[in-house]
Amino acid sequence: MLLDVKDVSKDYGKERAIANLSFTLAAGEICGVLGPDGAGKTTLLRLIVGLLSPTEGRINRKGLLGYVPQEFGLYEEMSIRENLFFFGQLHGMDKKKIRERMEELLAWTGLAPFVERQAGYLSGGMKRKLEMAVAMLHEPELLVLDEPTNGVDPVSRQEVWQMITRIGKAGTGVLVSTQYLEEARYCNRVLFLEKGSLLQEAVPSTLIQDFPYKVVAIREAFRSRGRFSDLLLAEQGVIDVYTRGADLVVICEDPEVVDVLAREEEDVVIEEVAPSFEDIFIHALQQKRGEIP
Amino acid sequence: MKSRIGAMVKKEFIQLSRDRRTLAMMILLPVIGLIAFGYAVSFDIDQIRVAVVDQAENEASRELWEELEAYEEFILDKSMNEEQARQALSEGDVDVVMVLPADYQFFPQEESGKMQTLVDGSRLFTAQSALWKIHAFMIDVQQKQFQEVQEQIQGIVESTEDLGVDLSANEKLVALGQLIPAEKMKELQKALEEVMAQAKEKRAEAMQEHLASLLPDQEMMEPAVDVLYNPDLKSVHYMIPGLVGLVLIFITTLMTALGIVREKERGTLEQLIVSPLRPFELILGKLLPYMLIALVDFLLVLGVGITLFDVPFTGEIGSFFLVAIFFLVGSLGLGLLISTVSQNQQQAMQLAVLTLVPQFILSGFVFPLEAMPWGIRWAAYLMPLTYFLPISRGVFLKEATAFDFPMELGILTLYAVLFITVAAIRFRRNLA
Repeated sequence: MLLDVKDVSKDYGKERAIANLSFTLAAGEICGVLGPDGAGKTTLLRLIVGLLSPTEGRINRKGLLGYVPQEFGLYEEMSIRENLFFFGQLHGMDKKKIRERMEELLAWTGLAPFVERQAGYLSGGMKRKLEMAVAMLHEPELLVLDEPTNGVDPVSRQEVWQMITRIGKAGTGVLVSTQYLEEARYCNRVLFLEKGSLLQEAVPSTLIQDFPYKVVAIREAFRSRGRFSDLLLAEQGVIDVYTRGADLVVICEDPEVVDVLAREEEDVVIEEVAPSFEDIFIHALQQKRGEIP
Repeated sequence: MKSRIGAMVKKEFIQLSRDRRTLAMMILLPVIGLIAFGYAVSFDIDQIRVAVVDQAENEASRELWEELEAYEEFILDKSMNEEQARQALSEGDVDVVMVLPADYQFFPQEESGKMQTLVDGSRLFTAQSALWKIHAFMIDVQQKQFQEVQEQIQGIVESTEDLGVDLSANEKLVALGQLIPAEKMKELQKALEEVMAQAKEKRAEAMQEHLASLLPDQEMMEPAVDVLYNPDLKSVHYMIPGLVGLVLIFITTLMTALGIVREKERGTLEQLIVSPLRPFELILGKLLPYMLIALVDFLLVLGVGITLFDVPFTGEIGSFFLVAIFFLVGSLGLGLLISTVSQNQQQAMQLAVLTLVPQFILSGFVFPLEAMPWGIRWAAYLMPLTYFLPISRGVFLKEATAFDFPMELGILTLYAVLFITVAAIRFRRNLA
């Protein structure tokens, strides 16, 4: 095991930020840490990299560590090359080795044309890639990423996840937090946190299979959304109704309840869809809070 | 280890070279400060403006005016009456008002004959300078007047030499003279006159001698004062050695505190903590560049002080450099300490100023420690600058070496060790 977290709690004064958390991480595994704002994701990651020490419990970590914090943490006045060189030297790498790794990583991140540009003048996505390159420079066994896709445009977000996937495939264990629930699909395993406690630990693909409800999308519901929503919520077995884009999404025990709409209007297009991770986690959250059975 | 510290130092210089404003502040500020202080912070006033209100217009007042006119350090104005002169003083148009009353005498017999002098105490240094100059002037003039009086007295004594005796006017002598042949009588008169003249001369000489012993010797009246180490009492010679210390402490404390807090603020410190960099390597890597810059500043300020302001450097530089290093290490520790309790650069700046201002005021940089009441003075003895100043002034002006100040040197060394240790422990704890 690269990482073994056992019964870890962290208090800030009287407030408990992390409560009795345990999990492990193996080489090559990509583990997502999910949860709403204030769930304790960043605290957990900072405990793991050693920036905080736990109030209770213990954390065993093996091998070299790479860490990308939530806020940009490199030297803005220094160029991409200078940043890579500096951190390489801190990790005790010799110049030749740094040069080799730098070339690999620059090609890999697509930052090669900007190598002399000061980090402060890079775009948000490029900054993220540079931070990942710096974190991967010394070939760590464990990579910890705190919301690497936050504040990054959709294209760069995808690129960042492609990089993470490749890092995982190459054998590095990755612990990555995100507030985008859909990004759970890139992970081998997810920890869903709520108020510092582990709400759910699961493999994303089984989460979809194990979802106890059906999800139905009513396409292009536009103008009728309010009326449909009222109608459906009055029916037995409808758990939730919400809008997603142009569609109305219904979470229910039995998809046939939606037929009530067909009686109202003839040209509604109804389709059963797979649950999104948002559906799954929000459902779990509501269940935990006792809002639904 | 060496390569990690080296990387830190190199990184610091790269950052500084990109941040021209900070770099300029670190190199130019001390020199600008030195020049500004060197020229501006001077208590020496070359000329003072004097309004003379002559209500007497007698011989004595005219004589005094002539003496005043001959004095180059006064800019004179005789056009005002007393009310106007007081107004001009309160508005700062003149520095001194001299009122010569209607009965003015240089050596007055009564109160009404005394000259009155007014200065503006709200302008402290000007007033002190003016008082000093007037005092010197009055002593000069008094001496001259005294000499005149002395000459007059001697004149009176000399004039009594010729008593104007005429023997033929005495009837008894005339009667006696008829008993003696006329020729013999002439001889007798001549002999008598000679004897008397000799007696008178002797008497006059004795009186002169007596007078001379009563009246003090003009030249001996002046006290024999030798001003050592700063013979012209130039304030710049007093300020520059102090300024060297102030500049050092200012740059190192402020820059160290800001430099570390900046890393904290920007999140780069976390990257350093997560890296294999050990705490002492981090501290050394952070402090060494500031130490180097401060030493450059030290030499710069020293050079400018000596060349531009002609401040003599009479002592021994080697030991002084050593003291500067101890002093610097203490200030760096103070900066590090400030960084451990500050969350952002603004807080660090405020705290640094909070530690620097009392040193500026209380260390004896401007105001002498001896003049401070003990209620405040003890605080002065807690400040490193208080111990650096005597060494600096001694080495600059008194041909001393730093080892001539064992207590100050010891306390500075103690401070250096204490500050850097406490700061390092606190900093380490902060990192964990």
